[in-house]
Amino acid sequence: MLQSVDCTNKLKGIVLYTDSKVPVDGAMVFVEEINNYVLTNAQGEFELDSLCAGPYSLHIDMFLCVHKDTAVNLPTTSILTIEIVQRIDNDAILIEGHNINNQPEIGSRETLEKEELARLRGTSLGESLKSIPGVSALQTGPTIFKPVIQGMYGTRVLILNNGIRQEGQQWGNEHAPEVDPFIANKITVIKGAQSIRYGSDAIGGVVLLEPEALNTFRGTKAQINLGAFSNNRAGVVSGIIEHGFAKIPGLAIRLQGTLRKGGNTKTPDYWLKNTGFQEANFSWAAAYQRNRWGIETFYSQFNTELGIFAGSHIGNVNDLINAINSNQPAVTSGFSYAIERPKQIVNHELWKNKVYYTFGHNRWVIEYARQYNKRQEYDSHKAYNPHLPDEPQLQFELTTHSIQSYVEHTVGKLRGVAGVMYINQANTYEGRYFIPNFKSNAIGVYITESYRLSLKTKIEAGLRYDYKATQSYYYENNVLQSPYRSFQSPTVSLGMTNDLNKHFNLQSTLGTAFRPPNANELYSNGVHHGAAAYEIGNPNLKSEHSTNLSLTLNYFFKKCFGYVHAYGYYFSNYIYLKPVFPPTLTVRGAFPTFEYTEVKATYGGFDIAFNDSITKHIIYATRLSLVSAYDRTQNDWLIYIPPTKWQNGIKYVFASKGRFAKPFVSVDGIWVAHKSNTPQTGDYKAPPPAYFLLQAEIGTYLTVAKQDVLITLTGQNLLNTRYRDYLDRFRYYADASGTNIILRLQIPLDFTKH
Amino acid sequence: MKNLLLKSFLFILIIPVCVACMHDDDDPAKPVNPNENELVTTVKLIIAPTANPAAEMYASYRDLDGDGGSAPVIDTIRLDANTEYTVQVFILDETKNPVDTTSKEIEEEKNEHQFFYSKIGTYNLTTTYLDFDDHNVPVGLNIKLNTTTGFTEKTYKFKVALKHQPGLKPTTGSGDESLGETDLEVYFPILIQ
Repeated sequence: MLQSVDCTNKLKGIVLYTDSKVPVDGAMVFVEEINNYVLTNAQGEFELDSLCAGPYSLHIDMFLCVHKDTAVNLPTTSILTIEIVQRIDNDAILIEGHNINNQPEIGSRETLEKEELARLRGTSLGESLKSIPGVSALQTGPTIFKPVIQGMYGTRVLILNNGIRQEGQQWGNEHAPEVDPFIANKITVIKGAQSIRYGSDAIGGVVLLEPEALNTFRGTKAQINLGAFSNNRAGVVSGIIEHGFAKIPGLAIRLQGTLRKGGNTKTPDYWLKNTGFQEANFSWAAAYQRNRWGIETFYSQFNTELGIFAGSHIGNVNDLINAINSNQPAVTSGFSYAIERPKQIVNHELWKNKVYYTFGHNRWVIEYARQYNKRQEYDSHKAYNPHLPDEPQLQFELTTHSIQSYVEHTVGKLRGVAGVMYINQANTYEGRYFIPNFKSNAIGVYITESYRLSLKTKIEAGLRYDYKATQSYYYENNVLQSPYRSFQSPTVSLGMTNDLNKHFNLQSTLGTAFRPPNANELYSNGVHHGAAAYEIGNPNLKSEHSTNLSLTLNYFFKKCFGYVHAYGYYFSNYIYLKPVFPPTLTVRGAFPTFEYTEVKATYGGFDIAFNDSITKHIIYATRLSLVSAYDRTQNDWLIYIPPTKWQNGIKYVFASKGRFAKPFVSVDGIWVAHKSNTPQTGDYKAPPPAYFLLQAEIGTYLTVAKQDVLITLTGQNLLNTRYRDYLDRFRYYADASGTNIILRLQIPLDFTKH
Repeated sequence: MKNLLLKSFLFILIIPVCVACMHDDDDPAKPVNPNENELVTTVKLIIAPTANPAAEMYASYRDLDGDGGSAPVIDTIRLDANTEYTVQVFILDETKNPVDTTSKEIEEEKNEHQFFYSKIGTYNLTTTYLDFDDHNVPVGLNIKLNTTTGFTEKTYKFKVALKHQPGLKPTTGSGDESLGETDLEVYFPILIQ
């Protein structure tokens, strides 16, 4: 039973996909008895020689396939045929070349992965996504980025971290998503309200962060990412290592961690004091996979400390006006890594467990997740009383438990998902009142099905029903209040994809969405620091409802491809902050006062992407996004809607030579227009003028010790342009950051390679 | 190399095996009463004629329920014409028992705080600082007010502002109101007769 020069038996075999009988290229065939493996060739064939006679156990693994065990008795003359089953959630990738079952199949989506993602590494999630047309970021200075999809942000955009709805604290514009983007090797943005299987409230869209499927191949694989940023002298180190156990086939573990630290950001003329950050994140995962079933567990922790630019923390409106009227912030400094008050400390913890069972073309999944989020906000002034500890002035702790069960199924030409989801939340605050304590329970049931009408046409329909009940607790004039509210609504989505001819594909979607008001929209009552506004919730708000129509025309010609995506929304009940009079008089002066209110509103816009391979080496790409939003009740424009953005880039890819693979150089110009359709009132400063940023990059894969190391050098804002962005709240106080040179290294360490 | 990596990896994996490391210890049904926090409810001016300290009077701005809710109660400052007054400023939290005197802590942090006094309307009143920080820049917890002619107009106001200027407060001259964060800004109606 050993491999030996004395034995002469050969074992020949072929590995095929069960469904399609297509040979599997690169499957790993592991022989337990000799503790060694071979990979199949492009014809799916493998061969082992010098085997002694006797029984052998084989384990066959392939990416995105169910692990397979088989046994063989040598000597044998026949060629062993082994069929493996593709994992149902990903089968579409290989069979149809697109579409993943657990995502809506029809609609506009864009994915960042591989090199494209590697070139954005080291920045926060919101910042990484800005390269996607129709996606922008609502910024609070150089460190806090909140993703904006089709003009919508906050609780109108859903983030799914490893399949779990991110339940963080989205009470304000300066609350960034609490996610480490290094967890994912693929980030997908789905635009529009098509994603009802994730929730009824994904009005603007969904951001999916997906880690690579845990590889149960035997062996060890690792990757190290390094990044260095010149502007704020920031450094990023992130590592991931995974191992598939040889002794226990199907078991694999992974460990991942990221450290980020940066100092003050520099605008072309001055440093922004107290804009440093430090972040430490880690996650681990383990999976055990058998032929039909598997279990997975995943744990992640995100910890960040962010300095808030000292000049932006203001006591009252006069401070704001003083800051606006001075061209340069009164508070400037040199470079420092120090993080002082005002600052935020945010921690997020996620623990996820998943069990699945595959039967036929169906898969039944049960998931449980616990999330804990702690957010601490430190004002620039610590308590007057020196005997009080140096505590945050505001602290929120949000604990979320979610359980979901769903069945991914294929019945004839019908494919879909049906499931039920339950979410329990508890929130508590300490310090100054801004939002109340609350307990909530929510349940949602859904079904989405897609049906292929013909080779060229497919339709998709989804239906969901949600119920949410919230009990809040807060003091009003020393009396404990505990109002109870419940919300419920159905949501639907419809989609159709047509291949008009071999060049054009049209995707049309129609969907409704429903979002119960948040705790801050219902019960906030206090000064929102930094915004210099007194915000008052409205306990009588009803749910927000919207209807969304979108059309995406994809085109593919020999050398050029791209899409035109147009969308429109109608909100019968749009919740937003409306200025009210008179201002609220406080001991710090009078504050402009805003109250949450409901209006009728419309959103509309389009995104265009066009790519042209001018020659074999030169690729030209252009991206244009435009969105506009209007309040139909008061007949005015809505505030904080992204200005028009137009990006043009040209990339030259050199021929690979020697150790250098796919070396490239690219130059991009980003033009952002002046925002003209802004509301008459409610903003302190007119939108900034249009600006143009020049960006360039060089990069290559370099083969070192059989590993393909990716090296890129990026220069952002190369002209050191002075500019302010409409979506950046710091535009009231200071310029945006100047030139930033970024060096990135991605080092894979794949020990499963020969 | 491969084995070493694997061993260290397994070792590291043992450390973070906690799945709910962080907990919320508070009960949502028992929220914090905001009045338990440090609050500034009252700005009290103790005003005494310099020539006759016994004729002391006071004017206060009081908002006992903090921001929002009931509107603050504001007294009118009533001064005699052609008189010099010595004024002491007290910043209080009257929701606490005993009443918390925040102005003491401002005195301790005088190098990063300054009061600014200004007239809203055109009337005759001069303000003189009586206390100074370590750099001889005014603080303004103690001031002198001098009146000349009186007036009958009832819309004039006297503004009291406290600025928090950590690292910003000038170390020469008489201060700069445009810097820093406003901790207090209250307006007292004023009458001089």
